[in-house]
Amino acid sequence: MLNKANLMTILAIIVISVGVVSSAYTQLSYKTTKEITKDVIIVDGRQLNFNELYEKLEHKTIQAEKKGVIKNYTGVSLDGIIMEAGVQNPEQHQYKITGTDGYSPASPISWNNMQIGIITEDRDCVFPNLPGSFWVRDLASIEVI
Amino acid sequence: MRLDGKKLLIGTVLFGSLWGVFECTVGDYLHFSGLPAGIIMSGFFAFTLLIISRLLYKQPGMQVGMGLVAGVMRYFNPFGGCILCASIAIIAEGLIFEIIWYLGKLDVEDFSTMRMKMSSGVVVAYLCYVGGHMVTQIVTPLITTGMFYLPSFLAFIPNILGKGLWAALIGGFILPMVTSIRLPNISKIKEKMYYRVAIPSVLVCWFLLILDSLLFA
Repeated sequence: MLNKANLMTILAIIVISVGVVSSAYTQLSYKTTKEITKDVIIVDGRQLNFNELYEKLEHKTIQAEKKGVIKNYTGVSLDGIIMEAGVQNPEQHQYKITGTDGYSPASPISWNNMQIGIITEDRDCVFPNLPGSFWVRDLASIEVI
Repeated sequence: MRLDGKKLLIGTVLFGSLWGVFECTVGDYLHFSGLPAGIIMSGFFAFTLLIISRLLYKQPGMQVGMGLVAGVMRYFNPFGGCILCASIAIIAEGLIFEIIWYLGKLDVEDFSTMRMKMSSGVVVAYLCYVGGHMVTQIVTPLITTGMFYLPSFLAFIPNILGKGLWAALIGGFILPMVTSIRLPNISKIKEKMYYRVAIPSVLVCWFLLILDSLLFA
């Protein structure tokens, strides 16, 4: 029978091992994704050159609140990117956006919000009407759901 | 040992207010500086206050109350990255701490060896941080959009588990440090003295919060 001290020690070893393995996995996955999406973003399985898209699409400036401060953000519309990817009936879908660090909001983005949101030159997705947890840094892919 | 209800309530509000004011001031500063605010706040400030209050008052339920007070304070302070996410995470951390303490039947007598102190610190801090982060990832989208997309959440789990490592290491240092401090016996402190210190301290915390909101608005 394990006493409390031994049980806690085993749990601590498990916790640290899980942390180390997850950290290594995340770093490796981040590096791989960053490498793959260096110049492109993946939309519905298609690779699109981000710089070309950014030049081609109309730029717009929106106001959004970040860290309690209202700032102006300039970028291109996310809906424009979806259209460029040739997604059929875009208004009937929802979108899962993912950053190079693997982060993706735990709720898909509606078409209405894709029309309001922008992607900046640094590939940060900004949604003025959604909480900060929906913003994604360094966009890697958009999955059509 | 049962403590007077009023004394416990004031203690809960006091420690919750301290936690909340740290989150709204130090937490925001760390966030603005680009430092890992969540890890430092959970692993260091929140964990220290949770442990001290538990060892000091030895009353089950107190840490849930502290989480609620701190979460409310965080919610009404209009700064930081994601206010709702942070509030939910704080409340969840208080609740998770309480559950671990209850299930583990932990008490001050358990922390007699350095091994027990360090391993408990690692486990409790890790579970509080990881649990709080996971709860907020589930609850925030549900509150804001009414939807939750499981594949996104599952894909981000390794990231949360990895970040928790830092909170665990901080926790492994904090618990031995806190347990080495000679804490007073709350039940032996004279009521007049207790309230004279506790109530103004609560007021100072809330005053600082209001001042912080007004100065940076």
